[in-house]
Amino acid sequence: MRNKNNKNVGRLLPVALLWSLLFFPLICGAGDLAQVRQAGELRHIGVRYANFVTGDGQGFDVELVQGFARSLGVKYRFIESDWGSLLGDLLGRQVTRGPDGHASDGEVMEVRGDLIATGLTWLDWRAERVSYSDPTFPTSVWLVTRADFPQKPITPSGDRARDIQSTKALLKGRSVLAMENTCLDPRLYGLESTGARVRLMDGGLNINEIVPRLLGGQADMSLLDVPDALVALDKWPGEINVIGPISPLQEMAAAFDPSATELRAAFNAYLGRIRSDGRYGQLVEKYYPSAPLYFSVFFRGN
Amino acid sequence: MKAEQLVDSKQRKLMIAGALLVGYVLLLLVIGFVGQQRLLKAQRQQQQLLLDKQAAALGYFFDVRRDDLRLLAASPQLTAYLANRALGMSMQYGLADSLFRLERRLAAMRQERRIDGKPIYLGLGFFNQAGERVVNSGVGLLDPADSSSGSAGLVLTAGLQPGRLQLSYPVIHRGQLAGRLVAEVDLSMAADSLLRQQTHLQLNRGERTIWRSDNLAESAEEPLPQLTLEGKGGAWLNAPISGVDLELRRLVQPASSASLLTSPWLGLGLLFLALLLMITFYHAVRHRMRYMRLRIQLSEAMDKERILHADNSRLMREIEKRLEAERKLHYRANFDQLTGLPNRTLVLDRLSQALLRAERNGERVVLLFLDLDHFKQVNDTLGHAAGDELLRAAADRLQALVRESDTVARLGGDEFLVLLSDLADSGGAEGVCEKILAALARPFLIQEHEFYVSTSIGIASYPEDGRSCEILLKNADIALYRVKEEGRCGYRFYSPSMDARAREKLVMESELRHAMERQEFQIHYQPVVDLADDRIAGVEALLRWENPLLGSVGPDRFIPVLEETGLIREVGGWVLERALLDIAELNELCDLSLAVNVSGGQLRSGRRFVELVERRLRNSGLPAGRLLLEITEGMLLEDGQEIKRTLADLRSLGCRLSLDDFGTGYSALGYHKRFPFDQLKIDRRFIHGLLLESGEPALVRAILALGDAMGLPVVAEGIEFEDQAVWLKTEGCRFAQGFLYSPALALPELVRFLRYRQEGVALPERSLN
Repeated sequence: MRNKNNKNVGRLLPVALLWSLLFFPLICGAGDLAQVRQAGELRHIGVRYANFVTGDGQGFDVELVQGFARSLGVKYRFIESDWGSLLGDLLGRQVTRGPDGHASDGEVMEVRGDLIATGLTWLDWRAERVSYSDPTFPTSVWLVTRADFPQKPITPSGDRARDIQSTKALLKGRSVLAMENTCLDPRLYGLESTGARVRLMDGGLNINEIVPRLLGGQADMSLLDVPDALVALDKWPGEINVIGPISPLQEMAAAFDPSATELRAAFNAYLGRIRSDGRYGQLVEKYYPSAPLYFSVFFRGN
Repeated sequence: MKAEQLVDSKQRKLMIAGALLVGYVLLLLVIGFVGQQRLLKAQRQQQQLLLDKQAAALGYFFDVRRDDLRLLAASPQLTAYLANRALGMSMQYGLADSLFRLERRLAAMRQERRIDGKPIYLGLGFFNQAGERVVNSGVGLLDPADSSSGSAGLVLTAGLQPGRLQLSYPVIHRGQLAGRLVAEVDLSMAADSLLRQQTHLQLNRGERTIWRSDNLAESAEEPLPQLTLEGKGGAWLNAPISGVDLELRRLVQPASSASLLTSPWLGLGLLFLALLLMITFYHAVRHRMRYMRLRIQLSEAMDKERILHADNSRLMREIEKRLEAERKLHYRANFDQLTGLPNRTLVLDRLSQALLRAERNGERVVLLFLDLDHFKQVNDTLGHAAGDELLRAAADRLQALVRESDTVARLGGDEFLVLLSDLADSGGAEGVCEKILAALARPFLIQEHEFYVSTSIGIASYPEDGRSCEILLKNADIALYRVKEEGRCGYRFYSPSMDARAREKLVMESELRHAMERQEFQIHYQPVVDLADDRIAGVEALLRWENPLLGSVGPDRFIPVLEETGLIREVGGWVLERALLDIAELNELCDLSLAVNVSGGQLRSGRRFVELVERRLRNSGLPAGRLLLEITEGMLLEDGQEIKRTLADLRSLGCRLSLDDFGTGYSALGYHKRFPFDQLKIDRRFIHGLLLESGEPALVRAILALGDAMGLPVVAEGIEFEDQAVWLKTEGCRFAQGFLYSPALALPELVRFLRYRQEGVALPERSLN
């Protein structure tokens, strides 16, 4: 296998040079495993979000990727991004959710990292451009409100879909904070049909700023993913009320350039190892200890 | 007896010591009892203090628990849960997280709160108002239903198991009771850690015992039995625990179990020990006493044996001494110490035996009584040692002269007795006497001096001169006396005429002994004339004895007898006294000197005689210088030093001394020089023959020349004729006395004589003696 590659090097070199001139950014984009190893560095693209990336060098996904980098024998480097540039930093071009619900490519960007791990929810439009790893964390989106807002939570019915309907039924006429191109994208959940007055957050903002804005009275309610809600409930105890679910159960995963198959495979292998040897469970206990209460199925066996 | 007393005394002392010991033990018991009471009180106080401390520790423990629950009640986790629950948040959507965090908080509290590494909280939980358990960490908890309506404070309920206690604390949310925090604590563990002494402790909630220090196995469903008092003297001590309705109780057991030292058992033990000591002491004392008694008896027996042995030895020595003394006594009794010759006793015994034998055999026995002439002078001149030597030599010569069957004995002094037995006639006795005289006439060499002694021998024969020892001895002595009277140096056989003179002597002795009291003595005074002026210079006192039986006895006869019998001192003293008084009375007539003869016996009495003279002079008032004491030359031959001292003392009184009978003795000039005489007196024998053809005027002249040479006046006595007086005066004799001038006169006659001489008064007619 190695000899074959050496033979091809001579023939492909001029073509490679040409492609490198034409698609320089791509060539310098997210690399696969070999490139990562060659570079000796694994670049982790992340956004400060909940306990996945806390911004102070800590976080569930930070430690996950750091462990992965150690398993590869390369250095770890965190590349901070924002929700608007997140996919572009991986793929080398802007990618957003188009009006049709599919991925829409935007302008070319510099590829800054090798993988995204930042509590990134597995969304269909994202999956059109990136390759997700195996799920790293379960999630869901809840509708939350201020504690003083006169809205009682739904009474769980035992059926999530019914509960979602019950929740959405409460949205009519309510101003709801949401954020496009994230898991809180109102379009994902059909909020427009509920009669809610969606107030979108600026894409450059951090999701962490939703709760303060909610508490600040910028809206009646807000969409909030469960991990972030758990953080908010801990951070502002008694000030936030969870009305009910908006989304079905979702999963989060790391995102790779689709070409970085080996890297993704290596990540999945690593994830499998730590889920079986307990290190994954330790991370959950550290950053989201109560999460298993809500996602018992996902965490079963950890 | 002494040993018994000693043992009794020691036994009494030891019994007293034993009684003191028992008293001491009883005192110990009393002190122990009092001490026990005080100790008990102190123990109670100490235990109460300890209990209070323990209660305080438990109170603090519950305070901390209250704080823990208060902290939990105010914790953000519980507050968030309650708030979220109040918001209506469901467990599925949000509330589970609050509950999870609350549970974590409770679990963290359980982990944190530990004592000695052991968790304090066995379980922590939260119950809602309905009493439903919302969250539970650790062991399952009971619904604190009975306290759900309690106050805001800490409420205690019994735990699920003995030794456990549930605490509930109300949780108030937004002003309302939201539920109760419940904690189950391990009371046993906490008590183990907090309470140092856990014996007989129990925790009571009212009358219900919820914990006992020594009984944890009882079912929690049933109330724990109370601790029970054991024995007498126990008591409960109580200490309420602050902040909770609990009371800590301690059962104080009797002192016996609390303190061995002051327990009655110890007292009984001491009492038993005291009795044991007493019994042991008693037996020890008995054995000691028995031992001591035996030892003392043994010691006494040994002492007695030793004393007996010593006595025995002393007795043996005494017996030996006595035997020796008896031997010596026997020897002394029968033999003369000096010469080794048989003494008077032995010779008389032999004499009696010889007499028996002679009577039986018709033999003769001759007794020779010997006396060495002038032996006394040898003794006085050369000393007793020389005299003794002379006696031994004489004895040897005598012993050599007689047969073995004869006995030579010394009777004493210079007297010897020779017993001649088995003699056919007295002619043999004469031969023996001649040999004796010849043998003893030979010179004796004593201390390098030649001595010549003569011997006088009196002879008495059996059976002519007597048939008994006493008579023979007496008659031999009489014969000896006769020899001496006749001038010594010879021998004479006894004749009955001798016996008559001897009888007279005996009569004289007897009469002399009564003469003083019968006032038979008289003093006559013979005047002494100063030849120079024919004046009466003095008188010589002369003793006269007029006896009814013997008539007038001359001094030459009775003076020796007075000397022999020792009466001379008494009579001499009287003469001195009487004569001094008489002459003192004559002071009015004239100043006469008084010459008094001093006997050897008087002079030998030394100091007593001097004092006598002094006393008599003082009594009479006569000046001492007028007293002239006349001392014969023979007296000076005796103990020279003593005599010299006496004479010097007499002179120091002022008396004058006259050497009497000068010329009859040795008349050694040395004596005259040594002794302080004031006058010499020529013996009458020299004066008597002075003018006869056979006289010795040269001797008298020589004496006078001697007196002149020595500056001593000379007195001549016995002047009877005028021619004698003239001659003497011519030769330089100063004084004279004698019949020429006057015989010795009685005092009245002397008075008249003196008056006659002074005043020419006629003398009465009288006879001159």
